[in-house]
Amino acid sequence: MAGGGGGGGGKPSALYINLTPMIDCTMLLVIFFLLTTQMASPDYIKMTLPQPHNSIAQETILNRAVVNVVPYSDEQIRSGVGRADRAMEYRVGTNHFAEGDLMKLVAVLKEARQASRNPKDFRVEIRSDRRIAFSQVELVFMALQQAQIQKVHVSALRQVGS
Amino acid sequence: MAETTTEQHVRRRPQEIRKASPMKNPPLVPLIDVFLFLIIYFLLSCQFHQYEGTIPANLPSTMPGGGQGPIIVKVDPLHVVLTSADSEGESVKIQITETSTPLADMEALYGFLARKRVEYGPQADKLPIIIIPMRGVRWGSVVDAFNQAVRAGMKEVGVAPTQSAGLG
Repeated sequence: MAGGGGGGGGKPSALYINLTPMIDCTMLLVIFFLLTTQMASPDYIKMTLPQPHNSIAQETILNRAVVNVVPYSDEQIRSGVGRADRAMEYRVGTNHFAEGDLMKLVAVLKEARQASRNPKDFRVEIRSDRRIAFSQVELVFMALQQAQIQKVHVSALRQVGS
Repeated sequence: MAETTTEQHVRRRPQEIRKASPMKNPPLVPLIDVFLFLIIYFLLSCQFHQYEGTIPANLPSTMPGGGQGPIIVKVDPLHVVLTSADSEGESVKIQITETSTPLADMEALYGFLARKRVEYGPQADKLPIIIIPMRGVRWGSVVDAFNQAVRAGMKEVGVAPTQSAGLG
């Protein structure tokens, strides 16, 4: 034991704590977090994504804008009637839209397409909570039609192991 | 020779120890502090994502003028009508308008569309699938149908507005 002096009858050595294992663990944790973490992004709002049978969802693509159909939080749903299947708002990056802001959404999507690296291959990713009624997501499809964007990606949970 | 070397070694050793002593115990406390700060930072800023991905498809072509015109299709589309089977909208009834045959579940929808894909051959790439969700159908069910269509190899998959759900 530290400070035991080895039982030789000599002067007992000073108390010594070996910090190496602790630093090892801390470094491993740092490396683990560095490799596994995904930084909080305005494109990835917390919600319950759809989980289709035999999902063919693939890796998320680049050159796209993400339209989030943001649900009410569980607390807000509990405190208000009829909120469970309704969208609280729509978000594209840091832009927020209400249900009636179709033209604003169209304008932002057109702008995002123009600003993209390859406007011809520009895609829109639709992220929505699975409990939201389709009538709430309809606005996004209308905006896509008006902005003449055909390439869409729908966010869903991936099949485990795919 | 060997003795001299050992002697030199023995003679030099205490000096080395004396010189090296500040380096032998470098201050580890700031290092640990930094690591702990990093861990706390990562713990607070990271989000553990669900295993998320995207299902790709092309919406059927619209009028060249853009806007609100009807969808232009070269091949007659297949309409998949989704109707709420319960008040919660969690489960749905699936029906293909063209055949008026109800399908038991999403797997049956996949089987039907896969057969259509084979039947149409190379033209199937231009065969639009229009999903028509009736009022009250949840997004989860629409995505499930969308997934089955893309999984069956369909390239053009669209979703009609709820208002037009009187088809058939």
